[in-house]
Amino acid sequence: MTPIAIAMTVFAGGMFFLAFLMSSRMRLGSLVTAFRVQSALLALLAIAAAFVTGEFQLFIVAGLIVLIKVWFIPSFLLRAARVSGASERLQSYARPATLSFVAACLAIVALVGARGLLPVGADYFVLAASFGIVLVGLLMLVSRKDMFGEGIGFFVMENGIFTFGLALTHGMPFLFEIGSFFDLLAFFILITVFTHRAQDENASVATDDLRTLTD
Amino acid sequence: MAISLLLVSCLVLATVPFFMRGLRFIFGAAFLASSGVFVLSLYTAIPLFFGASSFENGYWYLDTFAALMVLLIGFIQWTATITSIHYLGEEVRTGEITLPAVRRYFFFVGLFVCSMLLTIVSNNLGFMWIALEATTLTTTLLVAFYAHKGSLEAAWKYLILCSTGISLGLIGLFLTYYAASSSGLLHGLSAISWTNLLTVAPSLPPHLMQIAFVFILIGYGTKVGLVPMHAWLPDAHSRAPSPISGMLSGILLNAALFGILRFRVLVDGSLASSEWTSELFLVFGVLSCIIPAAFILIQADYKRLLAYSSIEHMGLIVFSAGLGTVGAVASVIHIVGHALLKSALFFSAGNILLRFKSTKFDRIGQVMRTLPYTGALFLTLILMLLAIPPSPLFGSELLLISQSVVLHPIFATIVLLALAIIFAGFIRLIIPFLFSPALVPPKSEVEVGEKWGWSHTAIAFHLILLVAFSVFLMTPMASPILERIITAIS
Repeated sequence: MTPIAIAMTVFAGGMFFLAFLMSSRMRLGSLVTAFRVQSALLALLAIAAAFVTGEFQLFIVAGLIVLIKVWFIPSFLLRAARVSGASERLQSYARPATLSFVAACLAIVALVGARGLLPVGADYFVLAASFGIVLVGLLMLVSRKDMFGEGIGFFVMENGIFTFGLALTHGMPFLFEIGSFFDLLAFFILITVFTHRAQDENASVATDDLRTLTD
Repeated sequence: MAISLLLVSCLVLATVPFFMRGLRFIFGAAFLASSGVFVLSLYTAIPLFFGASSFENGYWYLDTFAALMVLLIGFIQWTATITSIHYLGEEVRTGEITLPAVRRYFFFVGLFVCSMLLTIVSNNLGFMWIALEATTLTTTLLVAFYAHKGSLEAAWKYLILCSTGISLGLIGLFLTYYAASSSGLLHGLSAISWTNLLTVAPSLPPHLMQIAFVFILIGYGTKVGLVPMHAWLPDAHSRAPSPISGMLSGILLNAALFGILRFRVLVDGSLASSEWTSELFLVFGVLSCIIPAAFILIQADYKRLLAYSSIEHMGLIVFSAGLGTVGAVASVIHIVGHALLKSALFFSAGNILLRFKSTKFDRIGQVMRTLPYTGALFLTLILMLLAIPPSPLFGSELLLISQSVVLHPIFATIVLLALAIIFAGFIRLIIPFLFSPALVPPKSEVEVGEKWGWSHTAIAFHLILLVAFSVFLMTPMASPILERIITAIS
């Protein structure tokens, strides 16, 4: 393995480790910090991919990741929580230990799944890590009982998909990357609008309060 | 040029009402801009049905199937705008909403229509993905338009589920890009250009394309409302303002299905057979028919009833698409018929909701007496939705059942059973709703009688088009046009 391939594996592994930690974190501050670091590692991964492919645009993509995912989303998420007066303590359907156990099982599924689905050589561990991050993101989406937790779960899953794209394609066409960042920003704005509104309406961002529409 | 003008006209629809001061001017501007979108959609799409060749460049691609979708979007957004003018006018009059909310409404409607059209006319699968995600983002605040508790819940569920689904679809897109670029066939943007991928489809690695299609089907299928990814649909459709529900059900679901059908052509090309994708379509189609049947039978809310019916009809369309060429004809007829019917039904449901202030069956009765025009239109539309002639759905369902009885008799039996349950469920709920007194007396006196208004005219346009479409299908002109559409999706 080349040094860059090793670096990419380390960055992706670090991202998965952070996702694993996030699956059982119940404080908004630590969850946001972990997401910030995970996104910084994603930016490093994009830079490593830029060195592999010699594509200058990947440096711009890395810059956009830093701008949007390391700075903008975490900062404004914390700000939205502060302004709306939401609780720092997050809620989940399962205990942290159970969530960690499930996340560990998902890591095994990702390792096996990546081997079975895509035998493409050197990037195998990066692919496996990206699958793992997507799965843990999905776990957070279904296990959390509050809007912030679910929102961060979505962002973690999105980081996993981005890692998968980088590992597989070493960067998609630049125009497409810009468009997908734009969608992500719009998604984030909607999340903050809804958390604010939920806090106003229910004095809580718990999704337990959003279970009235049933048949 | 025409496509660019069409997209710009949607942005005009989004922005012009913002600069208007009074309600009449906002409505006038919205109507004119929406009419412009409709006229441009006719100008863009009609020539393709009469021999004009498909339009293609690096960014846009318009074949006969895309032209059909553009026509549907152009027409339904126009009638939805007319209905919205009546609907929002009433709500402003009763103090339910304010003038800035009306401006915001048309702003998001314009962006929504623009993103749907972008989904259809994009030649690039990447831009199609961005536009499809944008349809979720632009409609989320429309689902949450009212300050009701249920609206927030519906919008949150819609945002999270659809965005997650579309994000999973992105994995399919990455795999397609990888399949095209790693084998040295295409590079850069051209590796996700649909027309370029189509030319190299037989050389794309089948294993990768199959995995890609599974992600696309699950991802975009969430947006189509296919079971088991449908959980957002009844909530979003029942909580959104009724003209928006009409657009969501009538055209948005089809726009997402359009993305799946485009991908399917590539996968079939790579596998040199449509057998594998057809099997997936049949399974998702059958599931999407039987699960809503159960919910329709026990439904207590008429907007949710229509929403579950949308899931069922999308299931029928997907099921038909898995039945070869005859099935493809049935699915195209069903797409048009369902889009026109369901949007008109939601517009009628909006009139009922405005008068009775409830969506619950037990709180509403004697609609025929209270709202004679709306009631008569609603009853006619329901009967057509249940595939009673001259509904075009009669033809499509006859085709799909006769074809499936031959090819997949077990699936055909299950679908027939589901259709029978749904028929019974609808009749059980709709007849008392229209003709019998409400089970729970209303809190305040409900005014009896109505004048024929623009919303009725818009619904009547749908009915006239539906009958005209059925008649058209019986003429010799229909087969060459249908043939061109089927060629575009197979």
